[in-house]
Amino acid sequence: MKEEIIKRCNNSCDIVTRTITKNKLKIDIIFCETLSNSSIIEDNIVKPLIINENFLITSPTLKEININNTYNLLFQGFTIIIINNNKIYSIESKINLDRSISESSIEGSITGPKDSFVENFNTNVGLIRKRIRNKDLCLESLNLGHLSNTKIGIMYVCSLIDKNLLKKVKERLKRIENDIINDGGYIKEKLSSKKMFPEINQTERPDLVSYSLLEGKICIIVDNSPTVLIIPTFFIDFFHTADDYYQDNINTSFTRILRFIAFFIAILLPSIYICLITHNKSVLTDNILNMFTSNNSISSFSLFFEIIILTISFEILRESEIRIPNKVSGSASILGALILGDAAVQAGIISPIMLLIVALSSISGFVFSYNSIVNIIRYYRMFILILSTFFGLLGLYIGLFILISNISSTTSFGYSYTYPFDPLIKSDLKDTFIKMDTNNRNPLLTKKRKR
Amino acid sequence: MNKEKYNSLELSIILFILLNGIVLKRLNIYETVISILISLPIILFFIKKVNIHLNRFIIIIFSFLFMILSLINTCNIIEALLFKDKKIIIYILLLVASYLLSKKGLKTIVISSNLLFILYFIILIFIFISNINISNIIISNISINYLNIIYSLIYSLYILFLLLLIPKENIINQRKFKNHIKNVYIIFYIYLIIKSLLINDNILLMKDLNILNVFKSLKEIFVINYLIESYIQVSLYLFCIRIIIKKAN
Repeated sequence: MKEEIIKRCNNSCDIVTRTITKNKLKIDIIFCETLSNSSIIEDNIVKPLIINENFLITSPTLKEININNTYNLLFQGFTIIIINNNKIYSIESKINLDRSISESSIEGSITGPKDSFVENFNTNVGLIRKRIRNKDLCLESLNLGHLSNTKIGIMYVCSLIDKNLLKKVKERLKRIENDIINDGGYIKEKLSSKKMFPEINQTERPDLVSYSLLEGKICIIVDNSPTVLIIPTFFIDFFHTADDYYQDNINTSFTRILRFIAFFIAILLPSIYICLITHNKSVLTDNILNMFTSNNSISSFSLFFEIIILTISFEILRESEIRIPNKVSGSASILGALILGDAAVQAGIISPIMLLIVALSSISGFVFSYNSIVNIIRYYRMFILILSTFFGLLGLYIGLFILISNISSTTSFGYSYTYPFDPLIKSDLKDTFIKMDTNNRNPLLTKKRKR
Repeated sequence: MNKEKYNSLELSIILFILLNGIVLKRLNIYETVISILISLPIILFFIKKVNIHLNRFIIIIFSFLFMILSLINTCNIIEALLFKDKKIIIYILLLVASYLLSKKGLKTIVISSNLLFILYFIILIFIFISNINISNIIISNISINYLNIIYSLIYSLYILFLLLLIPKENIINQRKFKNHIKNVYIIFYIYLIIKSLLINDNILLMKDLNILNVFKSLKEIFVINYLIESYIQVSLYLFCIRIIIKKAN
């Protein structure tokens, strides 16, 4: 039996075997040394086996299994014990390959909790459970990925959840046919429809996940992924952060309004500048127009070309900043921001005002910590920019209409994306642009409206 | 389509259409009162008959005509104020944007009109305030232009026609729907009276103002209201034509 198991594991060199013979008993121990803790095996399995004959009967963690489960358990870090080539037992001996809980790197917090999810499924579930210590918090699990066999957890509060939503999520999850599920992003892509706006939120903050669960949403935890998926997501959610609920209403309202302004600056500012300088000059007073045009005369390129150069260089800088090792990132920033920017202005490739416009627009995009909304901003900035270059304010308006129609047509698992504006829920408007105390849950998601 | 969605559906379309009155010709207070008195019984008659299945052919023809009129009207304003190049570009841009919206269905048209309505309403208030002429309240001219009354009458019925474009299967609560229509007409007539008393421009746009020494004219910016109107209307017509043709097949 031992030989058969090793053979079916394709003679992998990290599969280790040991044989102990005692009182006519032949005990074979098989484990994967890269996934198992050898000291646990030595102290908790081999030594007790040698000392105590009754270990196999008394050990509470020992389970009898059949040969088909052997391979699964072996590669989950279990140790397989075969007695007289007849009975097979498994005992847990996993090694901890995960990093410890650390501070969130993407979604920072000023006053709120600092912990974030890690790559371990159980740790992530624990981080949520310790926030919601309630019997109604349900966890269902399934394995996805034909070859990777990754553990997926569906978490929800059963007293609040909309059963249709749960059914829909389960159905869509079952349809996923991937060989490997390395991250929550794989599932996010497969669960979403082909719409441009994100229908699922991906977060690394357990406090946000627990808040969403209590709103009647579903969370999907993926083993080996440091993020958790929240279903469904509304457009307004991208303008809110978990930190909003730890600060006073006035400060939060101010920050939220700033975020909305930043969203429109990030998308529209370069386009508005182009429109007012090239097509619709009569809007601005002569002084302002002269100031802009005299600045533009420094550069010999067209405004559109300048914006394109600047935007593309900025995107390259941003991308390199993510990939570059930390030790050299400081020098890369200096090279990009100071030397390249200053040199480009001095050489007459770009005008200083254009540098200011693109910088302001790009910085406004960084207000959002969710990558999916940053991508949307980037895409629409270019789209509206092209339209306004050719058609002026008319192009800008048409671009804006298309943006609004795309937001309107998006649905997240059948729920209107524009909640609470459409369907209009007056009481929930208190927690949108501004923050006011509200004790209501989202009526679209749950029938238990009062918190 | 559930009930919540239906409620916002009718309201947004009705409100949108209501404020379309901004392009109305100038009426003095007597003309306004006469046109209201004539149109009221006709509207009340139609509200009772609002469920009657209208002839598809007539709806298609009228939808098409109104669409062309709306396009021509908006394109003329845009050409005068915003985009002085070839007119055909304005037609194409507006039609393409409206077609894309109409393809996404009635619910998307409604949500878009709801979101755009906030912007529309803010701009409308600005325009209204900038165009107020207090001296107009003192009525010196008592001559009545019957053409203006007919125009206003047609416009009142035109609102009803636009409401009929909503497919009947999307209207769940007929009573509520009729109540909304009645309320909208009340607001519409109040709006007409205030406008006839305070404003005497044919096409209303914000007057030249110097704002913070940065902007000297906001006409180009506030022309977006005409575009929003046309955008939503044309997409509604296109949606209606598409649905009727689909049903006929």
